[in-house]
Amino acid sequence: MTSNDSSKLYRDIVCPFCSLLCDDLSIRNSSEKLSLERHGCPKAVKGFERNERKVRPAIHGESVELEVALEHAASILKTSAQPLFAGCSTDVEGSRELLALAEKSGAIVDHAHGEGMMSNTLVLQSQGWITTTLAELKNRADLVIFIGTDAVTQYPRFFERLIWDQASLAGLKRNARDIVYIGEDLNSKAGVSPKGKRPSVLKCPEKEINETVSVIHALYKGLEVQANVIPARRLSALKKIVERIKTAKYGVIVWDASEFSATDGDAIIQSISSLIKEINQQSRFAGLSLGGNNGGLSFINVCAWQTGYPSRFNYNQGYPAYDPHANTTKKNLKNKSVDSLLWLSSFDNNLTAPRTEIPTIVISKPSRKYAKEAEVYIPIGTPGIDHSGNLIRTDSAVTLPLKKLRKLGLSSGSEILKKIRQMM
Amino acid sequence: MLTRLKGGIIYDPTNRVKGKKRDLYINDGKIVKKPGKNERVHKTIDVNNKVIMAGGIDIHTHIGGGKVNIARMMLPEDHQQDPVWANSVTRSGSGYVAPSTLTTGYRYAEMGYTSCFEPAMLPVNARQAHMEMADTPIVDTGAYALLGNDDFLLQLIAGKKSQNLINDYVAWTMHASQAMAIKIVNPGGINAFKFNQRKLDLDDNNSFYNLSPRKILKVLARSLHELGVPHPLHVHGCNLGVPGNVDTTLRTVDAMAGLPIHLTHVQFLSYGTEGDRKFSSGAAHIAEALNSNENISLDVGQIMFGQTITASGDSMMQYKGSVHAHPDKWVCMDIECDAGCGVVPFRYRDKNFVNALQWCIGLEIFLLAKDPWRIFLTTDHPNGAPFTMYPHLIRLLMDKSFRNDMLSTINKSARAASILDSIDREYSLYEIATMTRAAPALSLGLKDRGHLGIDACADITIYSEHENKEVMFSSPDYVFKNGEIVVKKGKVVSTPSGSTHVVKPDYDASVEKHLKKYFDRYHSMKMSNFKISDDELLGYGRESLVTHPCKPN
Repeated sequence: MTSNDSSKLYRDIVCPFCSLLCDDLSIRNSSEKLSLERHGCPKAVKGFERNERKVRPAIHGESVELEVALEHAASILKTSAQPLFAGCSTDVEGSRELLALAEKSGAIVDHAHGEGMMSNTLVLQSQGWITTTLAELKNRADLVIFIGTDAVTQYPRFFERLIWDQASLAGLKRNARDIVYIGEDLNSKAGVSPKGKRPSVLKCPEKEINETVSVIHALYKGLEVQANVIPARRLSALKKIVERIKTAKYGVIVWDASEFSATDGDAIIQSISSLIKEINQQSRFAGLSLGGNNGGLSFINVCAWQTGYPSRFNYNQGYPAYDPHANTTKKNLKNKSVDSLLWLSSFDNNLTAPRTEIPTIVISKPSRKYAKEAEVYIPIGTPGIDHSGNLIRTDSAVTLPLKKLRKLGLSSGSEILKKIRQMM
Repeated sequence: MLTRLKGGIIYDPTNRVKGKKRDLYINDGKIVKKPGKNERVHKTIDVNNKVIMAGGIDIHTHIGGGKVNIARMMLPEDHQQDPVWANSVTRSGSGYVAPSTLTTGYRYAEMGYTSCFEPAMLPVNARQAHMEMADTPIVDTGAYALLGNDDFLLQLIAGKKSQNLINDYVAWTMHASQAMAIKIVNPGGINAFKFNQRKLDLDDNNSFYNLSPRKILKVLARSLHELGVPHPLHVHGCNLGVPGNVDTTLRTVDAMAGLPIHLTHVQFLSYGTEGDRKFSSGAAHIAEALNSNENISLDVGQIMFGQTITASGDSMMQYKGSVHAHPDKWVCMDIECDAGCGVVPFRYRDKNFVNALQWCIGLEIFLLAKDPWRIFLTTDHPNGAPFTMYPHLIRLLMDKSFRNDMLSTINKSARAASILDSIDREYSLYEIATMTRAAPALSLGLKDRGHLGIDACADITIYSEHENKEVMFSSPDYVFKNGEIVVKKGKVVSTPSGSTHVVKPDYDASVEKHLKKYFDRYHSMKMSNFKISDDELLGYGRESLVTHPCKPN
């Protein structure tokens, strides 16, 4: 940290706006206004440089003192027969407090990205997988296959930091890395190497991805595949991919469960996992799952260590009762099986609370919309901007520390949740 | 507040107190001397003829960090069979083999344990490991950082850098990850697996670095010795689980040439290849090696029959073992040029020859080892069995007729292949107090834990003597943590936070010049964000940070 008369520069700052958690940003604070000076991406600029409006706590659209809003939130939860805690977008500290309050309230808990994360979890719980992490990918992978995702749309610096920065501990030669895309509407521009080597792009509609992965598996095992199962052109392209897989020293398949539809996400991931396990009988290959933005990875990890379950449980009977299919935000609101909603959101302003008639407590970044619409609204700051904290990265291997960079007097989600709990 | 525990029978091996009836006094979280006549005793607790020991210390239990959390996530069926309700004192959670953090803390305390040490913390994953342990109430915690498969160290050794530079790096890692010791797992093998090597014996070479496990082990064992870290290098050796690995283990002991090491969960590394099934007990050889080499200590890693899950940093051997997964699901992971992990559920069956003999091998090692100061009671939770099986294990060690009853129910061929029924030894309460309290405290450098002398921390467990030792050790009458009653009649009554124990050897900070370059060039994070400060650690919710001194050189 350096300072001059009017501003401070913070180095090695962690960006909390996607689960890649780049930690090399330089952020300047000039009179409590932040600007991104070095590294980062459009998401980071938007996140760090946003000017938060001053919004007061409110009940039914009327400004109130914080204490009054907290009391009201506590009274809603006390009288609610079955609360739902959704959004759950916060850091590790917020997740811990959210669970403490959920337990006391007898609530169901589900993260905003519960659908995608659960596709992964269901595979973990049924067959498991072989995975890798960002630094392994960067140093080791000579073949990277993107299935159903281009990575850059949601994780803008993925290629800059992990694919084309080819410093390698494993003796991987510059430009030796091959990139393959399987999917549709993918932005494959980032897959062109700095020297102009082009990626292989296999266009494949999402509904055919699972079958395509299975065909790769069959070809890898040396089984005959009838050309009429898939188009002949695709079959010959797949044969080439399989040959490359066989020569790879360390291959990685990247996917993002949130980009698969909820109905067949776990089936696709299961096929990917089976293929990777098969290849490992001969050579090394691993998966890398992207996802869990908005604190999602932190939330399911805290849930797992505090309860044994990666979210989607109900505390109503006094213990965490896990049901990944029943304890979802969507189904419970649709079936009117909950009678209050607590929505927590502390990173992305576009992550919006579902519309519902039931009493809603919104705890989020300053929002005039929620101050007007929610039964109770309480503004909070952003972890890594307004207060310190921790977030767990997309590969679940690394937790990075978040720093407080400015003073706008915004509380953290964990402080607010704790105060509500103490009033219960 | 001065409290008297009146009339208890004290077992305190550190102070050579062997079942002596004596009052104990507690003040301000410490054990204090008998007050003078004019001093007021505020509270007297009648513990007449009850057995008093220091709080139990588990030197090797996987309670926090990424692989444990994968194990938790993988096993909803395990948790659903053992739901834990919240009450006015404790929070909810779940068991059984991979319990939630909160439940872990309560269950350890309810068993009379007050300190638990996570033995396999990946430095890169240290934050999460410490945060999980911060959510493990009551018990003190600490962790051993994993080295020996990290590319930075292997580069240093392969590049023939000085031992001093290596020592600086080891010490730096302990500071950065807030560790209290160093563990090595399958030396060089986890790294070799990333280059598709499937086996690495003591004198095989990691193909990329041209380094053998022997070389890596010697460098690290020497490093800890020279740094004066109280606990010696904590070694999970080569060829874990492979028949014939007893030879590798014995050669590892020889390779140390007197340098101190701790061999962990040695049961899994004590297999011979004799007999029709080419699987036999190497326990006698291991016990002999322990008995004749004072530089060696070990913990057993006893297996118990039933369902559990194995969670290990040894991705190479866990991958190999994944064919035995039950239920059939498993995870392997390569992690951040640092290490790896493998998580494989497993069911040990008493009618299965191999599993039954594994059970015998662990017990044979316990019973043939002569010095309880150098052998510690573990199940390598959850790998051999969940820690909640300790009272049962203690009964097996203390009660020969019970042990033989159990032995008569297991696989017949395994029974015939084991010498267990010919061993008459029964552990005494004093020996149990040694191996579960005094000895681990001494090994870890915890000067004021594991005993009941003046100024010791008042972590105390009080049991009612019972013929059935499993009953006795399952449910203490009282457990005190820092002088506060946390358990009464086997139930948690208070849930204070524990402390984190660390060791911080001196080092030359110029090692950071090398490290910063390494991080900037190869890593996925900045060196500054890798390091965990004291304030940050305390911020996770720990009572305090206890720093233990190194031994003078």
